Amino acid sequence: MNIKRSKLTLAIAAIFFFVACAEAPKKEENKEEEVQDESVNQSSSTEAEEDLSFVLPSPIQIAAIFNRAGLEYKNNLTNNPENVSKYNTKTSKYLNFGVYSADMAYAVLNNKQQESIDLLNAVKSLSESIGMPSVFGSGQLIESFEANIGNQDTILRILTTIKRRTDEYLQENSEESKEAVFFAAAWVEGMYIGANSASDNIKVTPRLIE
Amino acid sequence: MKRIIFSSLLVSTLLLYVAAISPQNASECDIKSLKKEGISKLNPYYYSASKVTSINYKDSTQIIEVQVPLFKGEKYRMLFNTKGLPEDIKIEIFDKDINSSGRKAVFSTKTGKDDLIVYEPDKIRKHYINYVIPEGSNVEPGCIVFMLGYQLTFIKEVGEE
Repeated sequence: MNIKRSKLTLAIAAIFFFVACAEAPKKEENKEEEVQDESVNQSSSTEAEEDLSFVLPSPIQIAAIFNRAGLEYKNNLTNNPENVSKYNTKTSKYLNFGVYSADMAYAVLNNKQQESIDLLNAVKSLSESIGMPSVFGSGQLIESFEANIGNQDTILRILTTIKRRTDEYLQENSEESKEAVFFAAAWVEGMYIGANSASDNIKVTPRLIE
Repeated sequence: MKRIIFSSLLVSTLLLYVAAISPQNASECDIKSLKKEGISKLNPYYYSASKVTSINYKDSTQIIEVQVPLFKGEKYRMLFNTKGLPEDIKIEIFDKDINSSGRKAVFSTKTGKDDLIVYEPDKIRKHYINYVIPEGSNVEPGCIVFMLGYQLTFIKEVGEE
Protein backbone atom coordinates (compact mmCIF):
# COMPACT_ATOMS: atom_id res chain seq x y z
CA MET A 1 0.00 0.00 0.00
CA ASN A 2 2.81 2.38 0.92
CA ILE A 3 4.66 1.50 -2.28
CA LYS A 4 1.48 2.11 -4.32
CA ARG A 5 0.95 5.49 -2.63
CA SER A 6 4.57 6.47 -3.27
CA LYS A 7 4.27 5.54 -6.95
CA LEU A 8 1.06 7.54 -7.23
CA THR A 9 2.66 10.60 -5.62
CA LEU A 10 5.63 10.29 -7.94
CA ALA A 11 3.34 9.99 -10.95
CA ILE A 12 1.37 13.13 -9.97
CA ALA A 13 4.60 15.05 -9.36
CA ALA A 14 5.92 13.94 -12.76
CA ILE A 15 2.72 15.10 -14.51
CA PHE A 16 2.88 18.55 -12.91
CA PHE A 17 6.60 18.78 -13.67
CA PHE A 18 6.15 18.00 -17.37
CA VAL A 19 3.21 20.40 -17.71
CA ALA A 20 5.24 23.18 -16.08
CA CYS A 21 8.09 22.50 -18.51
CA ALA A 22 5.63 22.63 -21.41
CA GLU A 23 4.68 26.21 -20.40
CA ALA A 24 8.30 27.38 -20.21
CA PRO A 25 9.25 27.37 -23.95
CA LYS A 26 7.01 30.43 -24.65
CA LYS A 27 9.66 32.71 -23.15
CA GLU A 28 12.37 31.20 -25.32
CA GLU A 29 10.20 31.57 -28.45
CA ASN A 30 9.70 35.26 -27.63
CA LYS A 31 13.45 35.69 -27.19
CA GLU A 32 14.03 34.14 -30.60
CA GLU A 33 11.52 36.54 -32.18
CA GLU A 34 13.22 39.52 -30.52
CA VAL A 35 16.62 38.41 -31.82
CA GLN A 36 15.17 38.10 -35.33
CA ASP A 37 13.59 41.57 -35.10
CA GLU A 38 16.89 43.06 -34.00
CA SER A 39 18.80 41.43 -36.88
CA VAL A 40 16.29 42.79 -39.42
CA ASN A 41 16.64 46.29 -38.00
CA GLN A 42 20.40 46.31 -37.71
CA SER A 43 20.68 49.00 -40.37
CA SER A 44 18.98 51.55 -38.08
CA SER A 45 19.50 51.89 -34.37
CA THR A 46 15.89 52.82 -33.78
CA GLU A 47 12.98 50.42 -34.07
CA ALA A 48 9.61 51.81 -35.05
CA GLU A 49 6.58 49.71 -34.28
CA GLU A 50 4.84 48.73 -37.51
CA ASP A 51 1.25 48.79 -36.29
CA LEU A 52 -0.16 52.26 -35.80
CA SER A 53 -2.62 52.43 -32.93
CA PHE A 54 -5.51 54.85 -32.80
CA VAL A 55 -7.46 56.83 -30.26
CA LEU A 56 -11.11 56.83 -31.32
CA PRO A 57 -13.19 59.98 -30.74
CA SER A 58 -16.24 60.03 -28.49
CA PRO A 59 -19.68 59.54 -30.12
CA ILE A 60 -20.98 62.17 -27.68
CA GLN A 61 -18.63 64.74 -29.17
CA ILE A 62 -19.68 63.78 -32.70
CA ALA A 63 -23.33 64.30 -31.73
CA ALA A 64 -22.44 67.64 -30.10
CA ILE A 65 -20.69 68.84 -33.26
CA PHE A 66 -23.73 68.02 -35.38
CA ASN A 67 -25.97 69.61 -32.78
CA ARG A 68 -23.97 72.84 -32.97
CA ALA A 69 -24.29 72.76 -36.74
CA GLY A 70 -28.05 72.91 -36.23
CA LEU A 71 -29.01 69.25 -36.68
CA GLU A 72 -32.65 68.93 -35.64
CA TYR A 73 -34.17 65.91 -33.96
CA LYS A 74 -36.21 63.56 -36.15
CA ASN A 75 -38.08 60.77 -34.37
CA ASN A 76 -37.89 58.21 -37.14
CA LEU A 77 -34.11 58.29 -37.48
CA THR A 78 -33.17 56.55 -34.24
CA ASN A 79 -33.30 52.80 -33.67
CA ASN A 80 -36.41 51.84 -31.70
CA PRO A 81 -35.37 50.82 -28.15
CA GLU A 82 -37.95 48.01 -28.30
CA ASN A 83 -35.78 46.30 -30.92
CA VAL A 84 -33.29 45.35 -28.17
CA SER A 85 -34.98 41.99 -27.64
CA LYS A 86 -34.46 41.09 -31.31
CA TYR A 87 -30.66 41.10 -31.06
CA ASN A 88 -29.62 37.58 -30.24
CA THR A 89 -26.16 37.22 -31.73
CA LYS A 90 -23.00 38.72 -30.24
CA THR A 91 -22.31 40.72 -33.38
CA SER A 92 -25.77 42.29 -33.49
CA LYS A 93 -25.50 43.15 -29.79
CA TYR A 94 -22.06 44.76 -30.17
CA LEU A 95 -23.15 46.76 -33.21
CA ASN A 96 -26.38 47.96 -31.66
CA PHE A 97 -24.61 48.94 -28.48
CA GLY A 98 -22.78 51.46 -30.64
CA VAL A 99 -25.94 52.43 -32.53
CA TYR A 100 -27.98 53.07 -29.39
CA SER A 101 -25.06 55.02 -27.84
CA ALA A 102 -25.08 57.39 -30.81
CA ASP A 103 -28.90 57.67 -30.71
CA MET A 104 -28.79 58.38 -26.99
CA ALA A 105 -26.28 61.22 -27.45
CA TYR A 106 -28.48 62.61 -30.27
CA ALA A 107 -31.60 62.52 -28.06
CA VAL A 108 -29.84 64.03 -25.03
CA LEU A 109 -28.38 66.92 -27.00
CA ASN A 110 -31.81 67.67 -28.43
CA ASN A 111 -33.44 67.60 -24.97
CA LYS A 112 -35.64 64.61 -25.77
CA GLN A 113 -36.11 63.39 -22.22
CA GLN A 114 -38.28 60.28 -22.55
CA GLU A 115 -36.42 59.13 -25.66
CA SER A 116 -33.11 59.59 -23.82
CA ILE A 117 -34.28 57.42 -20.91
CA ASP A 118 -35.61 54.71 -23.23
CA LEU A 119 -32.38 54.66 -25.23
CA LEU A 120 -30.27 54.58 -22.06
CA ASN A 121 -32.21 51.54 -20.90
CA ALA A 122 -31.58 49.89 -24.28
CA VAL A 123 -27.83 50.57 -23.92
CA LYS A 124 -27.89 49.19 -20.37
CA SER A 125 -29.72 46.04 -21.47
CA LEU A 126 -27.18 45.39 -24.21
CA SER A 127 -24.18 46.11 -21.97
CA GLU A 128 -25.42 43.47 -19.52
CA SER A 129 -26.04 40.88 -22.22
CA ILE A 130 -22.58 41.34 -23.78
CA GLY A 131 -20.85 40.93 -20.42
CA MET A 132 -20.33 44.52 -19.30
CA PRO A 133 -22.60 44.87 -16.26
CA SER A 134 -19.95 46.88 -14.39
CA VAL A 135 -20.49 49.81 -16.76
CA PHE A 136 -23.84 50.65 -15.17
CA GLY A 137 -23.10 49.18 -11.75
CA SER A 138 -25.98 48.73 -9.32
CA GLY A 139 -28.37 51.06 -11.13
CA GLN A 140 -27.36 54.31 -9.46
CA LEU A 141 -26.32 55.74 -12.79
CA ILE A 142 -29.79 55.19 -14.29
CA GLU A 143 -31.45 56.74 -11.22
CA SER A 144 -29.15 59.73 -11.40
CA PHE A 145 -29.85 60.08 -15.13
CA GLU A 146 -33.62 60.07 -14.59
CA ALA A 147 -33.42 62.44 -11.63
CA ASN A 148 -31.33 64.96 -13.58
CA ILE A 149 -33.02 64.58 -16.95
CA GLY A 150 -33.70 68.31 -17.17
CA ASN A 151 -30.05 69.27 -16.56
CA GLN A 152 -28.15 68.76 -19.80
CA ASP A 153 -24.70 69.31 -18.33
CA THR A 154 -25.25 66.66 -15.62
CA ILE A 155 -26.70 64.22 -18.14
CA LEU A 156 -23.71 64.67 -20.41
CA ARG A 157 -21.36 64.06 -17.49
CA ILE A 158 -23.25 60.82 -16.81
CA LEU A 159 -22.90 59.77 -20.47
CA THR A 160 -19.20 60.58 -20.24
CA THR A 161 -18.93 58.35 -17.16
CA ILE A 162 -20.60 55.51 -19.09
CA LYS A 163 -18.13 56.00 -21.95
CA ARG A 164 -15.18 56.02 -19.56
CA ARG A 165 -16.34 52.89 -17.73
CA THR A 166 -16.86 51.12 -21.06
CA ASP A 167 -13.30 52.03 -22.11
CA GLU A 168 -11.92 50.84 -18.75
CA TYR A 169 -13.79 47.54 -18.94
CA LEU A 170 -12.52 46.88 -22.47
CA GLN A 171 -8.92 47.76 -21.55
CA GLU A 172 -8.93 45.70 -18.34
CA ASN A 173 -10.25 42.68 -20.22
CA SER A 174 -7.99 43.20 -23.28
CA GLU A 175 -11.02 43.64 -25.50
CA GLU A 176 -10.02 46.83 -27.30
CA SER A 177 -11.18 45.27 -30.57
CA LYS A 178 -14.77 45.56 -29.32
CA GLU A 179 -14.25 49.31 -28.93
CA ALA A 180 -13.60 49.51 -32.67
CA VAL A 181 -16.88 47.67 -33.35
CA PHE A 182 -18.84 49.97 -31.02
CA PHE A 183 -17.28 53.04 -32.55
CA ALA A 184 -17.81 51.86 -36.13
CA ALA A 185 -21.51 51.26 -35.43
CA ALA A 186 -21.90 54.61 -33.63
CA TRP A 187 -20.06 56.31 -36.46
CA VAL A 188 -22.30 54.81 -39.16
CA GLU A 189 -25.40 55.70 -37.12
CA GLY A 190 -24.12 59.26 -36.70
CA MET A 191 -23.49 59.56 -40.44
CA TYR A 192 -26.95 58.13 -41.15
CA ILE A 193 -28.60 60.68 -38.88
CA GLY A 194 -26.47 63.52 -40.25
CA ALA A 195 -27.02 62.55 -43.90
CA ASN A 196 -30.77 62.33 -43.44
CA SER A 197 -30.85 65.80 -41.94
CA ALA A 198 -28.21 67.43 -44.15
CA SER A 199 -30.62 68.30 -46.93
CA ASP A 200 -32.49 70.55 -44.48
CA ASN A 201 -29.43 72.23 -43.08
CA ILE A 202 -26.43 73.36 -45.12
CA LYS A 203 -24.19 73.71 -42.03
CA VAL A 204 -24.35 69.98 -41.33
CA THR A 205 -22.93 68.95 -44.72
CA PRO A 206 -19.35 70.23 -44.16
CA ARG A 207 -19.23 68.47 -40.78
CA LEU A 208 -20.43 65.26 -42.45
CA ILE A 209 -17.70 65.54 -45.08
CA GLU A 210 -15.10 66.18 -42.38
CA MET B 1 11.96 9.59 5.49
CA LYS B 2 10.67 8.49 2.10
CA ARG B 3 7.35 10.18 2.85
CA ILE B 4 9.12 13.48 3.55
CA ILE B 5 11.07 13.29 0.30
CA PHE B 6 7.99 12.52 -1.77
CA SER B 7 5.97 15.28 -0.08
CA SER B 8 8.75 17.79 -0.70
CA LEU B 9 9.00 16.71 -4.32
CA LEU B 10 5.26 17.08 -4.81
CA VAL B 11 5.11 20.50 -3.16
CA SER B 12 8.07 21.85 -5.12
CA THR B 13 6.64 20.54 -8.39
CA LEU B 14 3.31 22.13 -7.60
CA LEU B 15 5.02 25.45 -6.92
CA LEU B 16 6.94 25.19 -10.17
CA TYR B 17 3.70 24.45 -12.05
CA VAL B 18 1.90 27.43 -10.54
CA ALA B 19 4.81 29.76 -11.30
CA ALA B 20 5.01 28.56 -14.91
CA ILE B 21 1.34 28.98 -15.72
CA SER B 22 0.80 32.27 -13.89
CA PRO B 23 0.10 35.12 -16.29
CA GLN B 24 3.27 37.08 -16.95
CA ASN B 25 2.18 40.69 -16.75
CA ALA B 26 4.40 42.88 -18.85
CA SER B 27 3.53 45.84 -16.71
CA GLU B 28 3.00 46.47 -13.02
CA CYS B 29 0.96 49.61 -13.78
CA ASP B 30 -2.08 50.43 -11.69
CA ILE B 31 -4.02 51.67 -14.69
CA LYS B 32 -7.17 52.50 -12.76
CA SER B 33 -5.35 54.84 -10.36
CA LEU B 34 -3.35 56.44 -13.15
CA LYS B 35 -6.56 57.17 -15.04
CA LYS B 36 -8.34 58.49 -11.97
CA GLU B 37 -5.55 61.02 -11.45
CA GLY B 38 -5.77 62.08 -15.06
CA ILE B 39 -9.56 62.52 -15.07
CA SER B 40 -9.44 65.30 -12.50
CA LYS B 41 -6.83 67.16 -14.56
CA LEU B 42 -9.04 67.03 -17.66
CA ASN B 43 -11.67 69.24 -16.03
CA PRO B 44 -13.45 71.31 -17.37
CA TYR B 45 -12.96 69.31 -20.57
CA TYR B 46 -15.13 66.22 -21.03
CA TYR B 47 -13.41 62.83 -21.22
CA SER B 48 -13.31 61.60 -24.80
CA ALA B 49 -10.95 58.61 -24.92
CA SER B 50 -7.88 57.06 -23.38
CA LYS B 51 -5.08 54.75 -24.44
CA VAL B 52 -2.75 52.74 -22.25
CA THR B 53 0.55 51.92 -23.93
CA SER B 54 2.80 49.25 -22.47
CA ILE B 55 6.44 50.33 -22.47
CA ASN B 56 8.97 47.50 -22.71
CA TYR B 57 12.57 48.62 -22.68
CA LYS B 58 14.75 46.73 -25.14
CA ASP B 59 18.37 46.73 -26.36
CA SER B 60 17.72 49.47 -28.88
CA THR B 61 15.74 52.72 -29.00
CA GLN B 62 12.11 52.23 -30.04
CA ILE B 63 9.30 54.44 -31.23
CA ILE B 64 5.64 53.66 -30.63
CA GLU B 65 3.21 55.81 -32.60
CA VAL B 66 -0.41 56.55 -31.67
CA GLN B 67 -2.70 58.47 -34.02
CA VAL B 68 -5.18 60.92 -32.51
CA PRO B 69 -7.70 62.30 -35.02
CA LEU B 70 -9.28 65.57 -33.92
CA PHE B 71 -12.19 67.58 -35.31
CA LYS B 72 -11.59 70.94 -36.94
CA GLY B 73 -12.34 73.94 -34.78
CA GLU B 74 -12.77 71.95 -31.56
CA LYS B 75 -10.76 72.48 -28.39
CA TYR B 76 -8.96 69.58 -26.77
CA ARG B 77 -6.70 68.77 -23.87
CA MET B 78 -4.23 65.89 -24.00
CA LEU B 79 -2.90 64.40 -20.81
CA PHE B 80 -0.06 61.92 -20.28
CA ASN B 81 0.26 60.18 -16.92
CA THR B 82 3.84 58.95 -16.74
CA LYS B 83 3.87 57.67 -13.14
CA GLY B 84 3.96 54.10 -14.42
CA LEU B 85 7.35 54.55 -16.10
CA PRO B 86 10.46 53.24 -14.33
CA GLU B 87 12.74 55.15 -16.73
CA ASP B 88 12.18 58.42 -18.60
CA ILE B 89 11.04 58.41 -22.20
CA LYS B 90 10.53 61.19 -24.73
CA ILE B 91 7.07 62.24 -25.90
CA GLU B 92 6.84 63.96 -29.27
CA ILE B 93 3.74 64.94 -31.23
CA PHE B 94 3.85 65.35 -35.01
CA ASP B 95 1.44 66.55 -37.68
CA LYS B 96 2.13 63.54 -39.94
CA ASP B 97 2.82 59.87 -39.43
CA ILE B 98 6.28 58.40 -38.99
CA ASN B 99 6.59 57.35 -42.63
CA SER B 100 5.78 60.80 -44.02
CA SER B 101 8.43 63.21 -45.17
CA GLY B 102 8.52 66.78 -43.94
CA ARG B 103 6.61 66.16 -40.78
CA LYS B 104 6.73 68.81 -38.11
CA ALA B 105 6.97 68.33 -34.37
CA VAL B 106 4.30 70.38 -32.61
CA PHE B 107 5.19 69.26 -29.10
CA SER B 108 8.20 67.61 -27.47
CA THR B 109 9.04 66.80 -23.89
CA LYS B 110 10.88 64.31 -21.75
CA THR B 111 9.16 62.57 -18.86
CA GLY B 112 10.63 62.79 -15.37
CA LYS B 113 9.96 66.37 -14.28
CA ASP B 114 6.17 66.09 -13.94
CA ASP B 115 4.11 62.93 -13.69
CA LEU B 116 1.14 64.55 -15.48
CA ILE B 117 2.00 66.22 -18.77
CA VAL B 118 -0.67 68.43 -20.31
CA TYR B 119 -0.81 69.65 -23.89
CA GLU B 120 -3.60 71.62 -25.57
CA PRO B 121 -3.37 71.17 -29.35
CA ASP B 122 -3.61 74.02 -31.77
CA LYS B 123 -5.43 73.86 -35.08
CA ILE B 124 -3.84 70.71 -36.53
CA ARG B 125 -6.39 67.97 -37.14
CA LYS B 126 -4.36 64.81 -36.95
CA HIS B 127 -1.86 64.34 -34.20
CA TYR B 128 0.70 61.54 -34.14
CA ILE B 129 2.08 60.86 -30.70
CA ASN B 130 5.53 59.26 -30.70
CA TYR B 131 6.79 57.61 -27.53
CA VAL B 132 10.56 57.42 -27.95
CA ILE B 133 11.79 54.69 -25.63
CA PRO B 134 15.53 54.67 -24.91
CA GLU B 135 17.47 51.43 -24.75
CA GLY B 136 17.45 49.63 -21.42
CA SER B 137 17.38 45.85 -21.49
CA ASN B 138 17.45 45.45 -17.72
CA VAL B 139 14.69 47.92 -17.04
CA GLU B 140 11.33 46.70 -15.77
CA PRO B 141 8.37 47.30 -18.13
CA GLY B 142 6.02 50.19 -17.44
CA CYS B 143 3.11 51.99 -19.00
CA ILE B 144 1.96 55.42 -20.01
CA VAL B 145 -1.68 56.47 -19.81
CA PHE B 146 -2.90 58.95 -22.41
CA MET B 147 -6.23 60.72 -21.97
CA LEU B 148 -8.06 63.06 -24.30
CA GLY B 149 -10.63 65.64 -23.23
CA TYR B 150 -12.74 67.93 -25.39
CA GLN B 151 -14.56 71.16 -24.75
CA LEU B 152 -18.30 70.69 -25.10
CA THR B 153 -20.19 73.71 -26.33
CA PHE B 154 -23.87 73.84 -27.12
CA ILE B 155 -25.92 75.68 -29.72
CA LYS B 156 -27.25 78.96 -28.47
CA GLU B 157 -30.94 79.35 -27.66
CA VAL B 158 -33.01 81.37 -30.13
CA GLY B 159 -32.77 85.07 -29.26
CA GLU B 160 -29.57 84.70 -27.21
CA GLU B 161 -26.47 86.66 -28.26
